[in-house]
Amino acid sequence: MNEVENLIEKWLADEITPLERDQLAQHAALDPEVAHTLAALEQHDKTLAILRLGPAAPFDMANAVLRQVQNEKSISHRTSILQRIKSLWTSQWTWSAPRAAAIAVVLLAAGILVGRLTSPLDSIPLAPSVDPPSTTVAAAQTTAANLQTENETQSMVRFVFRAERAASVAIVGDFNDWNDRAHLLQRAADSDLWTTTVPLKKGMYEYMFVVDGTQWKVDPLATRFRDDGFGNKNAVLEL
Amino acid sequence: MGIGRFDTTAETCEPENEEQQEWIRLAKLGDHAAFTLLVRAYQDAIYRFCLRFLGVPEMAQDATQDTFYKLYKTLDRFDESRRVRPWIYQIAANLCKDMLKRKEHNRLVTWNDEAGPTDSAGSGSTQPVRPDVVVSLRQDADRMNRAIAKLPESYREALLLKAVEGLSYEEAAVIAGATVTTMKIRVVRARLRLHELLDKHPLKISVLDRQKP
Repeated sequence: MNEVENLIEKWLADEITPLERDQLAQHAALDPEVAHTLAALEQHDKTLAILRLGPAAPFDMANAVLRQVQNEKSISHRTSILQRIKSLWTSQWTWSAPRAAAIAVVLLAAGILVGRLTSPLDSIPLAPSVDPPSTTVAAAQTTAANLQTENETQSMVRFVFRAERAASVAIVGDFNDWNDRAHLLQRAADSDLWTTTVPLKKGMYEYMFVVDGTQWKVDPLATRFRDDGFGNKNAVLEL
Repeated sequence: MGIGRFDTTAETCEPENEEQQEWIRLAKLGDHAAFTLLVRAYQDAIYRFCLRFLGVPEMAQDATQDTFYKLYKTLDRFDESRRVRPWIYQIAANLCKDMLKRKEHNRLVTWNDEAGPTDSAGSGSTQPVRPDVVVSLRQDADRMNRAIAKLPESYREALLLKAVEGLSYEEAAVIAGATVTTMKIRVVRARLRLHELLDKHPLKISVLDRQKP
């Protein structure tokens, strides 16, 4: 690299000294090509600064985000009810009178809250019954099938973490809004390995493990990491 | 000729101050009004950064909204001793890079700051009638936008953060996950590449032939 190139680079990197600035000016005085380049680069400086006045955000992001958060809370409430119904259906149980009454009440509550968003629940009988009528069973089956269909677009991802003395290990990340109660790992019998399986759609996720509710741990087996903006690294999972 | 630099580094836009730190503190406690003030202080800057990084207004809108959504979701983890501004830009830059990777979006779409996106092949966009100087500045800005869209992603990120948004090299380095030296090299090479793209008789500088940082 010749001297002029070196000086121009230093100038562009804000590293030029006053003496070097004079030297560059001398080169410009002697060589029109250098003068042309410096004039062009100065003009670019001005243009780049003008870009700072560029277009404004097209709508109020604060309102949009707060609405998004509000909607999520409401969706999360609905999903939680659906999952409870599903777990009632898939768990092994017998048709005892109290249990039948319980599921009918839960389905009734879900029907009221979910409303027309989940049409199969619209036909739930209102009165609990000792011998559940077939319509109630069908409603629960349909609900379970809907959830299954949704799951088919997801991959089951197994997370493993080694912790000898931990009382609890949770996985938190983009996929569960960094909620340390959403996905708890189970300790494998007679082992220091903790595991859980999480259904995830295609995408890129940042995640961490939380040990005993307080210690945030990066996944030592991850192959990619990203600075989290707080001085630490999150592991990155791409599906 | 003079070689005084036009000052692009002064933090004249969105200066960070104690008030913003207070907004963060209140937002962490669940104060939506404080969160709203914080978003409104940065939404225009983040939108134009995303727009120039991604080149597509619709993607930039999504990236901007996602930036503030992620900000909201991670407020409780923010260390209040750190500066707010680079943190928000870091969230935005990471989201933009993810979007580019996911969508494999590398086509050259550029835009007119007022009229919306324009085809990069078309040289003339319809300009409103204005005084000569303003028209000239607008044309310069449009040409610059198109040239920035042609830069490699890492050069574009470095240039936007430092030369357009006015962050320091140290802040830009943290945001991009690179060293200060690397960021300086990227900015210099971005500037020289723009010189090649925009000027009729660019000075051929050998730095462009060297290996990319």
